[in-house]
Amino acid sequence: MRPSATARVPLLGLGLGLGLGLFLGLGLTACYTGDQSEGASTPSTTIATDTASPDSATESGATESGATESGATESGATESGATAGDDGEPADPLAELDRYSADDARAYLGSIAPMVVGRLLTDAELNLIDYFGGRGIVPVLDGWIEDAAFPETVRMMIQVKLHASGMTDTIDFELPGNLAAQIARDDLPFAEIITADRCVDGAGADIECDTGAPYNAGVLTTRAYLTANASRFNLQRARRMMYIFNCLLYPMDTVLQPPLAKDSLIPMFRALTPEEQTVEEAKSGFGNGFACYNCHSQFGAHAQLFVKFDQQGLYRPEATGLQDPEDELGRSTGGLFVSHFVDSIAAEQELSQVFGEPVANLAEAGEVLSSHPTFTQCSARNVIEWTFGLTEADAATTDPALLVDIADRLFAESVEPSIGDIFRATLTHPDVIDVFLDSTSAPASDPNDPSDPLSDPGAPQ
Amino acid sequence: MAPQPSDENPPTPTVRLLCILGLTLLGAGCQSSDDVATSEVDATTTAATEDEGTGSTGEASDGDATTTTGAVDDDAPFDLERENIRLYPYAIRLGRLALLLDRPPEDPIFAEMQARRYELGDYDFSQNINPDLTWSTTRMGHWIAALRPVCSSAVMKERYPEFPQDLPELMHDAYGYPPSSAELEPYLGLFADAEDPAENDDGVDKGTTPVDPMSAAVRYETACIAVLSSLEFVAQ
Repeated sequence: MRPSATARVPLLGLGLGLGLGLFLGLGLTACYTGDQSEGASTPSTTIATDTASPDSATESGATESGATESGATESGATESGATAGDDGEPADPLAELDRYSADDARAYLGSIAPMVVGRLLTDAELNLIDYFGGRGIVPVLDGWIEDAAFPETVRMMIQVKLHASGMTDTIDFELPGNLAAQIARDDLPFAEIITADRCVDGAGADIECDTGAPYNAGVLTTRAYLTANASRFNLQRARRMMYIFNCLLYPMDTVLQPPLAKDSLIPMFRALTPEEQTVEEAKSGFGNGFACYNCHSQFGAHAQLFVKFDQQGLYRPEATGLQDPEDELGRSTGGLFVSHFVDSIAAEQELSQVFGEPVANLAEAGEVLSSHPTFTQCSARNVIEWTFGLTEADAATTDPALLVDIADRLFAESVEPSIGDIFRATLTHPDVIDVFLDSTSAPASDPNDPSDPLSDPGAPQ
Repeated sequence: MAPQPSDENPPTPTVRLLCILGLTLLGAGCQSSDDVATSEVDATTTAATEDEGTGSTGEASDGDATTTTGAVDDDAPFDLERENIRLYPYAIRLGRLALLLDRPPEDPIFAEMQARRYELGDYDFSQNINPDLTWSTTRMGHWIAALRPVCSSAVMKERYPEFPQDLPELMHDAYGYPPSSAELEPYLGLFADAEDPAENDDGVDKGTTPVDPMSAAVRYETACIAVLSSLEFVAQ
C-alpha cells in the first residue's frame, strides 16, 4: 500500500487540521452523514467497471447511475495467475513472460510501438526480442520510456483526455500537455499531474500558472481545464476530475466518498423521490427531477473545490457560491457558479472533503486524489485506452482486477510511480498481452512459408 | 469490388490509381468502390466538407468505416474488438512518414499534409476541433492528396529510386515486416505492362485522355500512395 496522503504531504496534514478546525467553526459537522462510520470498514480502493462515459451524462448528473463500486478488493487475482503468489510475493515479471514466443513479442510490440513511441520497432529492439523471446518485452518497454518520443506521447494522451490543446488570444491550452510532457521527460511522479505547484511552458521551463489562484494543483488549476469544463454548479469540472484521474463516476461508493448531509444542500439537490422535489425548475426540466441526492450529495463536495473559479478559469476570491437570481439555475454572479451548500458561509468557502478527508482547496484535493489507489489504477486504464485506441466507454469496461494488480505491482516498486513506470507495468502485464494476442487470432507462423510476414528471413536468429 | 480495367476501354491513370488503391484498401474490407471514387473527387478539391465524424473525440462513428474482425474472448479484461477502423492519430501518421523519409515533420514536402491536418483528423481543442480517427471517404481522399507531393518528391525517389525493385523495401520500412508475395502481387501487376518510360515520363496526370498508358512516374506515385495509404500504415 502507498503511504497515506497525510504522510506523503505535510501540507495536507496542515490542511486537514485547518480544514477540520474551520469546519467545526463553521458548524458544518452535520455535512457528513453517519454512513462513514456505520458499518464501514475499509473504503473501496478499486475503480468501478463503468458502463457509461461521463460525457454522455446530463449536467444534473442524475443519470450517472450504473457506475457504482464493484466490491473492491485490495489486490485482485487476475486470470493469468500471474499475480501475487500464495506467499504474497509479487510474480516475477520476467519469468511470467517466458510463455510468449519471439513472434508473439514481435507482433505485440510492433503493434503498440506507434502509439507509445510513434514508430516501428528498431533493429536493436528486434534483436532483443529474437534473443530474449517474451522476456524481451521488458527491455524494449524500458527503452521506449527513455525514448525522446515518449514525453510527446504522454502529452498527446493528456491533451486528448483533457480536451486541452492549442491557444487562444487569452488562454494557453497547451499548459496541461506541457506539464504532462515534463513529468514524463523528467521521470517525475505521475501524481504531479494533479499536484504540481507550477505550470510549464512550451520549452519545458517552469512558469507561473494562469488562474491567479494562491495555490496550484497541476492541470486542475489551468485555465485550459477550467474553461473546457466550465458548467453550472461546477458539475463538469468535478465530474471530469473524478473520471479522468480516478475513473470514478457518480454515484460512487458512499464508504469511499461519504455523502454530504441532506440539510446542508440547497433544496433541489435533496430530493430522493419526485415527491421530495420542491423546486419547480428542477421538476419541470432540470435533470431528472428526482434522485438528485444520490449523486449530488457527493458531487457537491467535489464541485465546491471549484467555487472560486469563474467560467474563464480565473480565481475570484470574492466568489459567493450563491445563485444569481437573474440568471439560470447553477449560475452565480460574475461568471461564477453556484455551490451545492445552502449555508451562505459554507457556499463561499473552498473547504470540502474528498474521500472522507477534509481539504482546504483544490491543491489538497489533488493530493488526496493522487494518493488513493484508484489514481494509479485509473492511470493504468488510461494507458490501455490510449495504447490500444479504445474509446472512453470501451476502456471503462476494463476489469478492475487487472487494474488493481497493475497498481499493486507498481506500489511494490515505488510509492510514487512515474508515467513511464505505469506504461511499463501495464504493457508488460501478461493479461494485457494476452488480450492483444487473442484479438489477432493469427495462425501460427510458418517459418518455411516465404509469404508469411512473420517468417522474416532477414531477422536475426 | 474495385473497378477493374478492361481491354476495350483502357483506364486513365486516375482510374488505374483507384484500382491499385482499391486493391489495397478494399482488400482490407475498407470501402466500396463508390466510396473510393468519391474520395478521389474530394481529393482533388481543397475545400472538402467534413461531413462525418465531426465533433467526435476520435471514437468510432457510425460512418462509412468498416468492421474489423478479431477473436472475442468474453472473459478478456478489456475488449479490443472494434466495429470501425481507427486511424493512428494524425501526429503519429505524419511522424511515421517523416521517419520513413528521414525528414522532420516540418519539411516542405509535408506542407500539403500540414495544410490539411484537420481534415486528416488532427485536433486543436482551443478551436473546438476534436480528433477524428475514422477512416472515412473524405479523410481517405485528403490523405491521398496529401501524399501526392510526398510520393513525387525527390526525397522519396532518392530513398526508393525505382519500383517495383524498391517496393519491398518501402513496404518493409512502412509496415515493419517484409511484404508477402500476396501483398506484392497487385503492385507487380501495375508494373507488368509498363511502357517505355522514355515515351511518357512527364509525370502529368492526363486524366481525361481516353487511351493513356501510365507513365513510369504515375506508376511510381500510384504504388507509393497505395503503400502509404494501406491500413497497415495508417490504422491501429
